[in-house]
Amino acid sequence: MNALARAEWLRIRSTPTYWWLLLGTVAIGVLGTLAPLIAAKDNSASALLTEQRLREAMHGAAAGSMLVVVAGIIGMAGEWRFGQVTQAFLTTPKRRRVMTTKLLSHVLLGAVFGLVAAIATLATAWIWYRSEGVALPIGRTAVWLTLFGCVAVAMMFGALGIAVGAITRNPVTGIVGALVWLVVVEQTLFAASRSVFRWLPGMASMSLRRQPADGLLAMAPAAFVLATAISALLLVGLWFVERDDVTG
Amino acid sequence: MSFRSVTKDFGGHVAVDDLSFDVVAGRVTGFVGANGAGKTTSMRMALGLVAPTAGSALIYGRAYGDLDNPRKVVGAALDGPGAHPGRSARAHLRIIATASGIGFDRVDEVLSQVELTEHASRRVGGYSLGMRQRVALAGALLGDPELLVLDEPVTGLDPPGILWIRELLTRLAGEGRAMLVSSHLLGELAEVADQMVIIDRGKLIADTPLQELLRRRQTIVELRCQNHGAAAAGLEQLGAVVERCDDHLVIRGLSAREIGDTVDRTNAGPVFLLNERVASFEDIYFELAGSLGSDAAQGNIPDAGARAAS
Repeated sequence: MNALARAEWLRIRSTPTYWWLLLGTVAIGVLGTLAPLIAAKDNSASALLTEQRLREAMHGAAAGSMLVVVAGIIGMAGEWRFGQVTQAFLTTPKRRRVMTTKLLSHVLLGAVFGLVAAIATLATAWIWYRSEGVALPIGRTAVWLTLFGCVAVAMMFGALGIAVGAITRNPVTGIVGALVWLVVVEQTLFAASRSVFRWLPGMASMSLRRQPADGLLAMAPAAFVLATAISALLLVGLWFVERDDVTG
Repeated sequence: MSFRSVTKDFGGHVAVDDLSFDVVAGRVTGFVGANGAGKTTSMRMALGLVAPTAGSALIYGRAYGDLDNPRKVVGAALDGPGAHPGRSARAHLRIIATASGIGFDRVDEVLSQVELTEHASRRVGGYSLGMRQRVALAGALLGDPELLVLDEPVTGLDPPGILWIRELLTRLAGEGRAMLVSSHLLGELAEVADQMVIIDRGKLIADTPLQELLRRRQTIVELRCQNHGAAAAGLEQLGAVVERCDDHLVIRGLSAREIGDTVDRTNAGPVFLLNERVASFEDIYFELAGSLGSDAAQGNIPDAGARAAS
C-alpha cells in the first residue's frame, strides 16, 4: 500500500489540473473572504467583531473547499478519460486497493486544500481587519471552529469526489452533477423546507463549515449525516469499479 | 499464458466464443483477426481487465490478479500509453515504477530502449502516434517481464515506425521472451512470430506454427475471360478451387498455363486477364475465415484441395 500511496502522490503532483485547482482554492479563499467584507455597510470595530461577521469573514475557506470535490472526481473518474485506468489496474489488479489508496490520498489532499484555503482566508481577513484598525480575534470560536470545520469538510469532500468519480467514471458528468446537486438542487430543496432538507449531505456540510444560515443541523449530527452519505456513495462506487469491465 | 474455453458475452453480443490456446514460453505468438474479432477482449481477459463470462485465462496457472507484482511477470501495451496528456513520459513511467517497486534507473533504461530519452520530459499530449506507442512499449518493458502482451503495436504507424517496432520485437524475441502480439494483418507478424493464432468473430479458426502458414502460400491465379461459368466448370473438374468475384475468377490449385489451356478447351475465351501471384497472408486469412467459420478445430488447417474435392 505504501508504494501505491507514493505512486498516487506522484500522480497527483505531476497532474497540472491539481495545481490549477489549488491556485483556484487560494483565489476563492481570498475573494470569498473579501466579498462579504466589501458588501457590508457597517465596518466599524464593533460590527466586525460580531459572531455573524466573523463567520462571514471565514466564508472564503468554505467556498475554497468546494474545489476538493472537483479534485477527487478528477482523481478517480479522470483515470477512465485517457486510458490511465488500464495502467492502474495492470499495476495493481486489486481494484479495491487502488480505490482505497485514492480515497486516503484525496482525504489528505482535502486537508492540504482546506489548510491552504484557511490560510488564504485568515491572511485576507487579517489584512482587512488591520486596515480597519481592528485585530482579528483568531482565538474566538467563530474563527477557529469555522476554519476547523472547513478543513474537515474539505477532507470529507475529497472522499466525496472519489465516490462520485467512481460512480460516474466520467469527469465532466461527475463534476457537473456534483456541483449542480450541491449548489442548485440542495439549496432549492432547503429553501422549500428547511426542517426536512437540512438532512441532505450538502446542507450538513454547510453546518460543519458554520455557514451563517438558519435552520441547519448542529455540527455533530451534520458530521454524522455527511460521513454516512459519503460512505454510502463510496460503497456504490466501489461496487461499480469492481464489477465493470475495463474495455478501453 | 493459457486460454481455456474463454467466452465473453457483452449483453448478448458474444465477443469471444469458447477460445482456447496457449502462449508458450520463449516463443512469439501472433494473434490475428479482423477488427472486432475479439483479440483485444481476449487480451484484456488474460490481464484481469475484463471478466470472462465462462472459461479462464491464466498466466503461469494463476489469474493475473493473483500474481505477485504482475508488472514483473507480464508487460502489456494496450490502446496506447494510458498516460495523462499533461504529464511527461518520464513522470508517467515513474508512477508505474513507484507503484511496482521498480527503481527510477529502470525508467531511464526503458526510455533509452525505446529511443525516447531525448523527449522524455515533454508532455505526452504533444507526442506523435509513434512516440505514444513507444511510451506504451516502455511501460510494458518496465518490469523486465518474461511475457509481453502487445495489442496492435503497429496500428497507425508510418513506415519508419513500423520498421522500428518490427526490429524491437525481433530483438525482444531474441532475448527469449514469450510474446502475444495482436494484429489485424497476418503479414505484419510473419517476420517475428513462431506461432499464429487466428480468430474470427470470437472463434478460433487456426492455432498453427508459422511454417504451416508459409507452406500454404500457394500460387493463385486471377482470370478474366468472356465466359466465367464455362471456365469455372472446366477448372473445378480439374480439382481447382475457384472463387467467383464480380468480374473475375480467383483460382487455386492450377498453374496459369493449365488455366489457359482449360479456357481454350472449354471455349470460355477470349482471355482479358491472366495473372499469377503467390497468395498473401491476407488471402490465407480470408480463406480460413470464410471456409471454416465456427467449426474450426485447434491446430487443424484444412487443405484447400481436400475442401475442393468435398
